[in-house]
Amino acid sequence: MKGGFRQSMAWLHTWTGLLLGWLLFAIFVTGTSAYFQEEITRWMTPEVRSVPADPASGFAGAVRWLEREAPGASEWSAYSAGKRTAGLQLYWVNGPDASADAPTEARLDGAGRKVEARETLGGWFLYRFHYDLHYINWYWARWLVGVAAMAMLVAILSGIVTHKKIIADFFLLRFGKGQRSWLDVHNVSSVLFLPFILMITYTGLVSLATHYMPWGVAANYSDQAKFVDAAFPWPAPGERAGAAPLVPVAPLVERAEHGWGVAAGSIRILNPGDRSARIIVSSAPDSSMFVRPRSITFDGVTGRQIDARDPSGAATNTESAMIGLHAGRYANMLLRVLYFLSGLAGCVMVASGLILWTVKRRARLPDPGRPHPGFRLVEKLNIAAIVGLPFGIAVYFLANRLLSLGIEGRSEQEIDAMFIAWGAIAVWAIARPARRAWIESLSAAALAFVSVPIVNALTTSRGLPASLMAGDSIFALFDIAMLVIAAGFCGAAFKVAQRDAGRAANRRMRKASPPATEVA
Amino acid sequence: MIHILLFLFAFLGFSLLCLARERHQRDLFGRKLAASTARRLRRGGSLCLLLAYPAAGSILGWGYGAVEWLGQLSVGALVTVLLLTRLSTRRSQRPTGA
Repeated sequence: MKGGFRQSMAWLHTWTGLLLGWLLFAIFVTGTSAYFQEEITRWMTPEVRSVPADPASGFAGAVRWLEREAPGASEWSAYSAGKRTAGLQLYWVNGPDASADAPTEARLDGAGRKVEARETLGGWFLYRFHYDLHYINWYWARWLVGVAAMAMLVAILSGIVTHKKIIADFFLLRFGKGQRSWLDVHNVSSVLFLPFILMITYTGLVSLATHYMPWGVAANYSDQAKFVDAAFPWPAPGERAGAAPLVPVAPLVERAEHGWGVAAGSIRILNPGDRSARIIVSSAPDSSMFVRPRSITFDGVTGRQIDARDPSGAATNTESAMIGLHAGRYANMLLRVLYFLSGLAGCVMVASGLILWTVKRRARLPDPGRPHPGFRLVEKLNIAAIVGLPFGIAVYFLANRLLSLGIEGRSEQEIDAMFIAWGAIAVWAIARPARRAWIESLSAAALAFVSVPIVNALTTSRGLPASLMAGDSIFALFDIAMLVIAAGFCGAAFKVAQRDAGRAANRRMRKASPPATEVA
Repeated sequence: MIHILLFLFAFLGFSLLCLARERHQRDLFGRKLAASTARRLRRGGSLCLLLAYPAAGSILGWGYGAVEWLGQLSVGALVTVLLLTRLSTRRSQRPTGA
């Protein structure tokens, strides 16, 4: 049979796409938001007003702070919060004479002062959700995400085969033609952004490759910890040998940066204030496409270089660059925007594919007024997935501003708020007729997103007018982005309402002519 | 500067490729162009898209350049598609309006 191969590919495309599409949509949305993870975190910690500082003086300031606040520690470390966010995250391991509940971490702003900000996981939570999910064990979550990514790869490849003819026609985008338009949108978003979509799916699988295929590691190392030690060594502090002053760190950081030609991203100091002190300077993961850092170990008293590590070897470099390509941390603002747009195209591709499943089948239903339960289930899950998650994210932002500041487990409550909102849309979708539920949930999402800048202006001194006046681009653009998203949901709600109004008239017309058949 | 140039390369390249297709020639001009013109348009378009890579690579570095080149190609193609949609609907509305 001539159409056999393409028919079976079409079947594969439809069903892998549908079954994992809902999860894929969530992965795509949260993953896309992660390209602006640092900006989201900054918006969610409005107390922090960062002033940029160069890494060398930042690390020197961190050491001064740690000498004052954690003098007895056996280990200090300071991590740059990223090149777009001034500030450092500090951790330390208290000595034996410190009390058990003594703090072990702090955040400094760009000027070296301790930051007192609201408790939130910020953009990091959305980033983390895109491969670890939430409320379920991360081990199984990664497997679930891996299965979804694999299904995505299958759906892309079978989609290319199925839609071969349409790829040739990839300039076509016709609006207002029902199923034809949905197919066009599905095509345009996937074909035009195919390099990104293939890359992101494949490199996503690579970044968790040892999780999915532990056998290579298992065959060569007696346990996972030994592999981690060999691949990413993490020296422990040695025996103490007697007090000796720590060498200034700023010149060492500068020397390391000069040697690499890229910025330093973190330092670790083992046994500070001791003759056995070691200072390990590592390159920043966002300084180049290769995410695995290089590091140099210095003697903490003399400043002499003891050891240098440069993860090389073809396999390590390939893995390192693939993760770099996936996460895009190295990208400057313009390329970051391109990444973000491509991510949005991915969201549109998955969403339009899910909607297409129902649009195609609705035309063939024996009685469109009373669809069978499977159809109704897909329709409702589509609403819950496509509108529910964005609505949840808007509520996550709102909760960040509205929950009182001092409460216990605040960051977890923000996350709970997001899932409660998401669940509420799901319940609403189940309870209401599908068409009404689309209009109502899209309107709710528009309302939630438009509230974000309003609530921000009411609860902080960094509302949109104030940040525009102050030239605070991150806050201003975040608020504007919320308004743009709100306008998008509002437009979608109107579109659905309009379509419903016109549907009765259309149905009368369709009865006169037989429905067009489509291969898809 | 190179970023704007890359976008223009991508947009021009896809526009020429689009004009090389008979269907869009009818949409835009209401008639089919000569086969030799179409061939030239197709070659010119491909050349624009391909030349953008060495331009990106030599200035931005071959790795970074490749990523930005692909990203700009996607955006250039998207702008072409949106423009085409807009122009063809306007054209198809004109005769019915008159």
